[in-house]
Amino acid sequence: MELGDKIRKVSEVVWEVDRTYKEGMRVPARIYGTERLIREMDQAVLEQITNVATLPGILRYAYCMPDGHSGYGFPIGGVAAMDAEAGVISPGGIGFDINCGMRLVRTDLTEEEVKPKLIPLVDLLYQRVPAGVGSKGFVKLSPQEFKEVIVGGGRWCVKNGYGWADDLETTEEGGCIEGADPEKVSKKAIDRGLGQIGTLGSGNHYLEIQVVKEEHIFDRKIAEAFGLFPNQVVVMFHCGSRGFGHQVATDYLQLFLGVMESKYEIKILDRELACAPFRSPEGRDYFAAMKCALNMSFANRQTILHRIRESFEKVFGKGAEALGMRMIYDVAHNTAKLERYRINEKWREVLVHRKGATRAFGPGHESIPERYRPYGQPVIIGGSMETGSYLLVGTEGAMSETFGSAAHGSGRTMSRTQARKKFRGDQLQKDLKARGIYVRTASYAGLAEEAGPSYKDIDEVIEACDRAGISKKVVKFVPIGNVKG
Amino acid sequence: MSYRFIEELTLADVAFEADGSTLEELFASAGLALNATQVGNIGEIQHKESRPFDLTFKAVDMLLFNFLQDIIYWKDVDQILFGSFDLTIQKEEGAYHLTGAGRGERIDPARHHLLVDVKAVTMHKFEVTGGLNGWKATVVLDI
Repeated sequence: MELGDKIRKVSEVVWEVDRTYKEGMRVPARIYGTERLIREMDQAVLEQITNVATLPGILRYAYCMPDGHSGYGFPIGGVAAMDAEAGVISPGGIGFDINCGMRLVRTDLTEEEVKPKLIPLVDLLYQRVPAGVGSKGFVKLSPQEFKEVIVGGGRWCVKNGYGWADDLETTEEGGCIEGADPEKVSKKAIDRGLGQIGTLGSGNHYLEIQVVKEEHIFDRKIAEAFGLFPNQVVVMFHCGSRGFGHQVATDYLQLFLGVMESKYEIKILDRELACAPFRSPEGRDYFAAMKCALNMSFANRQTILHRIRESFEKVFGKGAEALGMRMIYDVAHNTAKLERYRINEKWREVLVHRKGATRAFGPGHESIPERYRPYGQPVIIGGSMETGSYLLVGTEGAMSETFGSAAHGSGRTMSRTQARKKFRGDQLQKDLKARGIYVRTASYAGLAEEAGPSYKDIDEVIEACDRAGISKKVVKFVPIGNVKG
Repeated sequence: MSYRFIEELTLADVAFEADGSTLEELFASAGLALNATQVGNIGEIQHKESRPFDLTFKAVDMLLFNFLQDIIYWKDVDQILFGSFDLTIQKEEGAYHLTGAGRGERIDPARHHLLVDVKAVTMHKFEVTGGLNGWKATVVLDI
């Protein structure tokens, strides 16, 4: 992105685009990132985030996080808070993969203990957690049972033996958001999701075995409170609501396109920003359907965790409890949620859209599990399979600056086609193995697309979040094993 | 009747342009482009099974949008990849009506060179243009 006179530097890591940039902008846009990150962002980010700024009811700013890159409608990394009464809800502000998110699980195992068994472990995980085009999960359900899953989310899983009660306490929304209504979901959506619980998907979805290095612990007190220690092995994975969520978003995108102008006189600059007033019948229906997809995704990650625990049990010959396989946290990064913020001395209900952005509530917030409340909400940021991932905590700064939001990943800098031309999946797999990272993949082409240089420098993204005060870094994890969708 | 992938239109997803001298050809090209996003050796898909298409929309772009969505639907529900399409599109009483079938087979990771899963067709830059001299579409797929 070019830093011309249209982009004003607010601080070392905050850049502002005035309302005069484009006709119809209701608020300015704010892009977070170091100068290097901003220059690396593609120009379309600027167009997309200023389009977001034209949506009715948007408050304060249209935000783009430091990992931002162009998407469809909203940029990835986009955050928009809408007035709950006067604002809109937009499926394009959430993404097709509703509640795509990250889950982080600790173990008592050290790198030394895992390394000798890494290959059989990753091979077994690859077998037990289906990934790639058209993969099917192990949970066999009738459409009626599936409806119970999309209402119950993680709670359904724990009730049916796919997890521990403690898992729910450390999942955003307790693994089950209230207000999900299966009657607002199409038969097509249910058909698509029915066989997919317990599957990773593909693209940038993965399951990774990672290590905490002594030198990568930035806040020892918080790391200890989260149960982390030097040389420890953890498991991190990234996936969403699969075909079910994709169909929910597609259904409502079309519904909104049909009523937006004719019924509500809303004009938008990109059809992917299709929206409806949040308090309209269409807006309410989408919110209730979207919550079904949130719950499906929580259930998907919960059943995957169950398979991960089973795999570790088999390889290490001990129960998951004895291996200390407790969840640290599960966080969504494609959502719209009703939250309360203090704006102009008044508490207001706000619908926060996060598309490729992580909720980052600060210390003391009632939505954070009690055990983490003194420190802030865990913010899990996944990097490329070569460079590492991070655990941060939410801050007061995020609450006052970005409606409790931070980055979600490292953000692409290279197109998929370009990456496929530049890298070979089979060669990359060999190179990574030589560097101590054992990878199993459903697709070599897909692996090439996810090569480290296709992404921004994750350390710089984290630095930008930390310096902007919208989250605080705790620990960096480096990969040793990866199952790639 | 052809398609080509476009690099400059999207960073994280996949974009393509498809064309055809008739609407039927355009739709078949776009359908193949979508499947070529998911499987590298699309020419080797065997025509063992078929699935029907029956769609009616006033706008031709929404007809294409939903046709492509149906291809994704069959991939998720029955793990079917299509290698060819036999389609008829007629305009009657102000609406486009598409009928026909896709022919292909169930995904076999041992034979199919699998690439990435297509999540959805997006409305971003989505466009269908043309008329008597041929048809063209621009599509961005969410990956």
